[in-house]
Amino acid sequence: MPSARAGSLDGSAGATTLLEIRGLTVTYGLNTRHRVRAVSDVSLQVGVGRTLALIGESGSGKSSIARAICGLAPVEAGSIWMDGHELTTATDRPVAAGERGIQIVFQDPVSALDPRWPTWRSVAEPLQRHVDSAEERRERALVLLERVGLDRSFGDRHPHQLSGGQRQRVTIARALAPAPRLVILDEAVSALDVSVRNEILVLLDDLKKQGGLTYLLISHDMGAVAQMATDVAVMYLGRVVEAGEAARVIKEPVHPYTDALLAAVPTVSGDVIDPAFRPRGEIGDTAHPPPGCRYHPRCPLAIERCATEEPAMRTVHARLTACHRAEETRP
Amino acid sequence: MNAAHLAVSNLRVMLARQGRPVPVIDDLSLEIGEGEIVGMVGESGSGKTMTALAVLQLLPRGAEVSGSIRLEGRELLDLPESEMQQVRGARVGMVFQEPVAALNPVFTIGTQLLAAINAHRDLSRADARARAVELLGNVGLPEPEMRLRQYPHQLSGGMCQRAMLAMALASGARLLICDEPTTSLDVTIQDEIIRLIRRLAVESGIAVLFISHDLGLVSRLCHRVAVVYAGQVVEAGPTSTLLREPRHPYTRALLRCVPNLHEVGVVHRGIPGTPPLPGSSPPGCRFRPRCEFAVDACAAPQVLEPLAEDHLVRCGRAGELAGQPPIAVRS
Repeated sequence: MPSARAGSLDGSAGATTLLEIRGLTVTYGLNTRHRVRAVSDVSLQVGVGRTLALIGESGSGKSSIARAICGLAPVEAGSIWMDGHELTTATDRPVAAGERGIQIVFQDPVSALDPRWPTWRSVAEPLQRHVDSAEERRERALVLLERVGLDRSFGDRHPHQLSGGQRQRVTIARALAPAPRLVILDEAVSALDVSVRNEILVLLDDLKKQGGLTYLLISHDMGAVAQMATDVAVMYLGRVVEAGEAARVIKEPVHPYTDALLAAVPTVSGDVIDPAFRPRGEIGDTAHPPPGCRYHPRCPLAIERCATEEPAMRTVHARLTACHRAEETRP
Repeated sequence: MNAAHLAVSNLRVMLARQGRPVPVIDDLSLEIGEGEIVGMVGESGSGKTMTALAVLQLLPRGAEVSGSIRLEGRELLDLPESEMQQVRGARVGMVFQEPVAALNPVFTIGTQLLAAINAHRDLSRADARARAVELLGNVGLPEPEMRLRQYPHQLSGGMCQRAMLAMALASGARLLICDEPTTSLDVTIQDEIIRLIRRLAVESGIAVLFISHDLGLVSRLCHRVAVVYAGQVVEAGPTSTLLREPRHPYTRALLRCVPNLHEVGVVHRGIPGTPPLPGSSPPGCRFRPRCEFAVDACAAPQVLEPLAEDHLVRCGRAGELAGQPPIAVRS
């Protein structure tokens, strides 16, 4: 099975691979009657200093990949490598992910912070294992808060005294505490108001420009993806259907699903979904994916072959895609 | 334009906060004709939801309301509660953000929809059931007979929102208020829902008040848009006018926050700061502390003035800022 080496295409060809996912299959309830294969045989690479965005509807498996990397989702097959070290064989996968420099920021900053703790304590928590002196941990936390644009006085405030944007800044400060190399942003800006969302995007961009950070951006917010991503992988029902450099995939999508997903984004440019690409119905059941191309029941371009034969991932117009009709429909 | 189906004029709402009255809506006027979709856009706390609740007279206890809200020519602010109950549901339908949370999880879709149908009409069991099937079919739910027997958890978010729309329209409401109805849905499903709302307005002549923080979404759906900031309308006009010639700096700033998929890899600087809390707005223009064009004259109170027929702006510099290109809007 050829792999979708999103991070390794063109732009990051020169960059060293930081994170590599090989043939990953994530299955929940593996030894039960109700097994759900959320991710099926996905391969991805993220180069140092890049931002790979995973996009797709709810149920596409993008969050399961994030969780599998952090050791929070069951891996049935395949492996995950960080900087040449395999994470999937570790006894304690979440700890191994942290030690290899992976941190995650979640969507909801309210539930991500302990309401009883002053913010400095939440930010300093990941330092517990490495810094003995409480005074030193507090000082480091205050410096981190300054780095995310909150002055030191915020250290003594509690989450309920903060706005949504300030809370998300605190969770970002906490993620930065152990000096990570890869930060996974799992819908980190999705729950925020327009101007606050923009503020956080600017912060994440600034932090990356200061150097040393690589992002894996998981989002259904295509505006955020267009602004931040250097590479994009589009997922549908547990599989990657298109992957490549962000500008290429977003501006000239090849897979009909990518096209439909992007055209549904409300912009002010007057672009609307071309009726020829409008998908039918809703995303299917992950537990029972259709045979052949998983998108074929919704695809307006589907032909007989799509229902029986699973399309192979291959290079079309300088990106990877898995669509039988890619060459024919995008000459 | 048709005669106004809903006419809100000089609406002012004061809420009691810690014993003192705080203005949350200030001198807000809005008209919606039959079959017309009017968007109300602004950040959290701008008074969008309060306006909807004022129309339904569901404001928190102790709220002081002045001005006028006329529905089908009838003044709602003078109606006794018993008559207001007949207006809610029978004349005005409401759809909220979280469709799954808005539905009762322990009752079937059928039970809830039949309750909505029977609330204002006296139909036989068979007729009510036939009406329920018709309503579900009308909002595009496949296999309506089966849906009646299903519980909310058996439906996707998009299907739940369709069921909510069916309930909102069950009693023949001619005004539909949608408060962020697609915020928790995937873009592809969001696109389906807004096409459905447009069809309902066009085919049945229903007036729609569409509340959203997303100017891109509103521009896809609405005939006219009112931009609200800190409880005041700052700019209002036909959608195309607002997109092409936004005159209020806040409208321009909101437009900058709309995804632009033609420009990849650039993080836009949005609107600095956060909106003022109710009651803490500065005198004069309320947007002044965040405005890139603010001058001393902005400290004087600003009035909502017509710049052209049907295009109202609350900014003393609106005329002079006309030449500023807001963002790249493709024609």
